[in-house]
Amino acid sequence: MRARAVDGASLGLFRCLFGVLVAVAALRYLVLGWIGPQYLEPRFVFSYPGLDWLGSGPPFVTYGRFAALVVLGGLLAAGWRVRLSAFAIFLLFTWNHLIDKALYLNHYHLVSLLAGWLVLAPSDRAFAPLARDRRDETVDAAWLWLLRGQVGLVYVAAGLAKLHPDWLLRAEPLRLWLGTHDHWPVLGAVFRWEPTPFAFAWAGLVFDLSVPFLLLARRTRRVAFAALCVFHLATAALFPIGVFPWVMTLAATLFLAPDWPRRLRGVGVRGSLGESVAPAGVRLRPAARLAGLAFLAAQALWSQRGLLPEGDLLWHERGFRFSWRVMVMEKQGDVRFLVAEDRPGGRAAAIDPAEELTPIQCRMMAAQPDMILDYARHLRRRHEAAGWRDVTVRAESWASLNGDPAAPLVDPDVDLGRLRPGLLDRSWIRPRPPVRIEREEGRGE
Amino acid sequence: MPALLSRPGVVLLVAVALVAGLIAVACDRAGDAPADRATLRRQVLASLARDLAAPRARALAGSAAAFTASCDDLVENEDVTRLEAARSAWRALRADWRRFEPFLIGPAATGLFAERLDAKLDAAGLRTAITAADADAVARLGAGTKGFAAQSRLLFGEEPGADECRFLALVARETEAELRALAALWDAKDGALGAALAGSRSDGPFADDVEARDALVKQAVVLAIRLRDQGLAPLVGATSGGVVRRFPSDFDPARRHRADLVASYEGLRDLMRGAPDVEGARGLLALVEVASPRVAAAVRGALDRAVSRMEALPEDLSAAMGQEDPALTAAYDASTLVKAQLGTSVVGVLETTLGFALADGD
Repeated sequence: MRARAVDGASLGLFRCLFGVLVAVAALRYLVLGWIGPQYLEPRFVFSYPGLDWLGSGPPFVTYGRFAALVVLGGLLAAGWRVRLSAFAIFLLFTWNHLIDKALYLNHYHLVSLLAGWLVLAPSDRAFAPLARDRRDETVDAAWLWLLRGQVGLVYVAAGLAKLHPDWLLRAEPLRLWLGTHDHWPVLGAVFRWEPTPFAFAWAGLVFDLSVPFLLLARRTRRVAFAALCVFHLATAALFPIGVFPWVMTLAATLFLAPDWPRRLRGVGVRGSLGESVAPAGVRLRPAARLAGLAFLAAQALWSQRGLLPEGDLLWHERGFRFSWRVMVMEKQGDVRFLVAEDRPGGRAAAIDPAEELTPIQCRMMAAQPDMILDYARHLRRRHEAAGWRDVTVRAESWASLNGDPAAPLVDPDVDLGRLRPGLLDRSWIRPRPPVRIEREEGRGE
Repeated sequence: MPALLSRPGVVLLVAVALVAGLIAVACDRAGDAPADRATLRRQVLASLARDLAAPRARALAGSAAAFTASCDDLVENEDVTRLEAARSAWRALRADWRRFEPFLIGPAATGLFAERLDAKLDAAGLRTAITAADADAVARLGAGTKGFAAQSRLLFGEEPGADECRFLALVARETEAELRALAALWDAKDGALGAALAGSRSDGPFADDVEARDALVKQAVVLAIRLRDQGLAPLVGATSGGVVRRFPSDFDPARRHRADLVASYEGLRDLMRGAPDVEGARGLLALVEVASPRVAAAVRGALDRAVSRMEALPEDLSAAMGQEDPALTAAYDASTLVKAQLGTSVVGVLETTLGFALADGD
């Protein structure tokens, strides 16, 4: 296959605005005072497997990391050593994100991935006033396709995640969330109308599964992009999801024609460069293309791993993270731990996790079985260090998912302190009670 | 069709027409639906303030006055009959206090009524405090020496002497003053809290109705946690691997009575269901019902069960602590279910902010 060289303007503008978004995202943490509660106050962190060495560091390191992200975002936007800037952003952003499971967010994962792609991609061919030695303004079209693949993967996986009875047959959790806005002028009446959540749910499903393809087809691109803008503006207005709508809207511009920024008035760059055969300096090697495709394929497979364990993924959450299951559940949990010495006359204690964990950690752990397990192990170690022997740790945990009444989450008879479940083992998690699909009646009293 | 799609103007017109049609149909149909949640929320808050909180606050102040009178009687003549009357009056006051606790929100919470009245007993401080000569001296005392726990110790401990009775009367008078101030706060016509929630005053302590609702939900969750962890858990210990283990506990003498727990769960139940003796009264469950009838049914069931399980407890809880009474375990399980339903499903369906949203979602 012959490598095609296309205008680097689209990729350049994406890189520029991505840098701005990274800077804004980091600045929000500094301005909103989130760094202390999320990174400095925790006395225990829920580490990812193999990453328990990764800490946030002392305050000057933590604040410095966010300040550096603000600066680096600006430098990336201005095109200063874009690969180096992107690499530093990738490292620092990923560091922040991987410190604690309680801080997991789908869109932070996407930001890390996009930063990673920008380490490799030649994104300094346009909109890079500080770039040095810019020899060419074209890029191999394969870079755009790989990035489109990354963004398309997010949409399709998010769409597949919506193929769930709660979403399709009960319109949950949209029903709950839209209901909180039913006092809005005009739209409030729409949100109150019984079919509306279902219309939103099904439209969201169709949108996620189709929008990457509609963006690719020239005939439907404009309509799809307009719909995408409306969709993400609506999610930004309705839900507290930070920079996610803006990241996704920006990422969708990669699906537009490579020279689309040059068609805008007043940008100040010269006309479209058209397409040509990629010169040697621009060309992406076949092995690199294959590696890129393999990485995307691996992500696609990894995102579906949650379907392997038996039971409802939204309940047991085995394989939930890094799988692009966006906005598909409203879940609240409540947990208390019972620590005891398993011998006659042994000591016992009931542990309220709020004594040690931050409110965010408590809230996240209470609804996520693997975090309950992590904390149970920690409690065992903590009590053993305090001289307790034959320590058992059990959890009294409840969760409410998508408007269901609370139900027990983790088996209260299992000693979690020493449990080492396999990836597919969810026997220590109680099954989600059967959900009755019925028309909600008796509204109001 | 493809030709149409290629003309943005036509597409835009069609899209606008579709959205306008949807809004028109929705507005038309929404007329048949119950009031929107904002209106319903307003109605629920008004009903809770007018039909439940205000009368209960008045009843509480009345109980406090009756207790003061019984203590004054006791000072005049320290006989067993008057002591028993004072005990009954205190129990009635205490039950009314427990029923009212769900409404200790906003200025009623920041006013520290709970801290001043329901503090842990300071036994050593109480022994010296009894010599307090007058109301001014009592006013300077800490809550652990004059609150409900101290009053309970004086009334239900060793038979009180003259000093104890006189001290009780002083303390009762101060408690009455505190509770009159609380009742004034919840007055549905003029009170800073009651009138604001009832809708007859616009300068309320909450920024909006959502904040007021969240304050009530949060208080309910906090009470459910406290009742389970401090009220029931010391009775049964932790059920660990099927073995009941008891924790050492400084079980507050004021919490030894079954009536205390029954009244607490009645208070929670009425907050959720509305005033039981007022036609058309509404509680927070009306809001839950709109979001999820299943959750509303589960919460209703959990609260009814909790009240009945508390009523099945032995009257003197401290005596039951050493026994393997299944009623204790049943009550503990019922309290756990209430805590779980309020803290997870109610909070979830109402999207209540419990004050820890220091992050973005998804």
